Amino acid sequence: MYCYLYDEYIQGNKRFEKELALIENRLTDLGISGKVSRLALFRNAEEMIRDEIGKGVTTVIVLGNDDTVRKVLNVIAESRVVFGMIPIGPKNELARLMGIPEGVAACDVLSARRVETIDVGLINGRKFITGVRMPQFRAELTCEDQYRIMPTSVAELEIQNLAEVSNPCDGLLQTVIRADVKQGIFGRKKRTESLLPLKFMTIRSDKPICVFADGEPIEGTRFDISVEPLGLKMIIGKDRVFS
Amino acid sequence: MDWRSWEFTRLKRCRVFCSGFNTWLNEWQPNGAPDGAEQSEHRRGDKVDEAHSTQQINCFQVKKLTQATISGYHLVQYLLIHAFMGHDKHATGSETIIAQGVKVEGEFRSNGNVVIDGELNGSIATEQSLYIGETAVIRANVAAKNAVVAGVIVGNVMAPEGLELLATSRVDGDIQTGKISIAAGARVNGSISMGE
Repeated sequence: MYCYLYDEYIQGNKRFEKELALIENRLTDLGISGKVSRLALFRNAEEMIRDEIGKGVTTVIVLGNDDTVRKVLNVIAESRVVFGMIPIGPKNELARLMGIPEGVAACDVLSARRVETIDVGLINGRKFITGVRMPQFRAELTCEDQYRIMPTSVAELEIQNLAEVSNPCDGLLQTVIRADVKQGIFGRKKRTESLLPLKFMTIRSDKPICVFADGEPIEGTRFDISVEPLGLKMIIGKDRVFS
Repeated sequence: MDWRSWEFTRLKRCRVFCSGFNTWLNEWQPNGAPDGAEQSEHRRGDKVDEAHSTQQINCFQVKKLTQATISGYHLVQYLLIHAFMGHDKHATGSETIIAQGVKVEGEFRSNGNVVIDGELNGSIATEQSLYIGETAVIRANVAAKNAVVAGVIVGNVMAPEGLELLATSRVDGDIQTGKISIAAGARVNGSISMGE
């Protein structure tokens, strides 16, 4: 049984009206139409989804973008239902990585129902799918409680779960540290890249720092990051970036 | 990007440099100035001074030797790394690279291949191959299945399957290995034991 969750920004927006009508018709034609729920400012998305799952929903499809996925990811991953999306509008990086085309073309991907179970990341108890970024990495990274890593020059930290070069089904988070190193007499800058596949790690800093988990900023002095292997079932397209 | 891709990228950049250098070399004439007209005249088989043609042949040989040396150096480096470290498909995906600009402290353990170009204090242990780059400074005891060292290690080294010390390497500690290769220029301050 399918449940379709419409994000706030596409409801009542004339820009997406025609697209929505086409999508609804296509879903009906394919025989995968279901209950429609609409997110609103004063409605808790997680409670709404829990109620629907309690009524027997086995597949939850969100119509929106990366922000919409972030609102419902925690409860979807906990409940182990199949998750899909129909990307509409801007900021749809997750859909691109999963091979899901924008708009009405996504309906055919949902109908094909190619389900893949992927890893889910956790940062201070919050779930993320693509990864965590820290543009100015000046903190200490403790890896699997065994060793610590510190940058000796200006560096950028990226922890990837789902990306072009990382496998989201291997139970590991690919940690990438990009540092600018001065070389030679003239001090020419050279970009180096360190790669560490890890299961869990901690970022510690004396001063508050900001990291971006799936694009959402989180501030703090300590971040505990780990991976939940095969924690999310998702409908993917054939143009996904991972094999 | 795994360390092989990193090496491929470096190799590609060297090829770009080599191709540019080759282009310059191809245009370089024995008299020192690129002059297409003069070269075409020679190709028509005009009689030329013998000394001048000998000089041309020598310069041509030098040019080709230089090109071959540049390509050969990088080919040998690439083959050395890949042949020595192997293509362990099971290790792909768990390869670790610690590049320059990063410092590691503590007990570093890995199940896959490891490439180190930065600093490390503590201890290193891996079940697969270890490559220590020229810019790496390791103040730790090292344990790996086999290892290629081009940097500095201050600590003991254990590599049961084999150890290759390149010309820029320096090891201040004891070595325990089943097979060893030491290039001219490598420095070892410690004992080497190769018993069972």
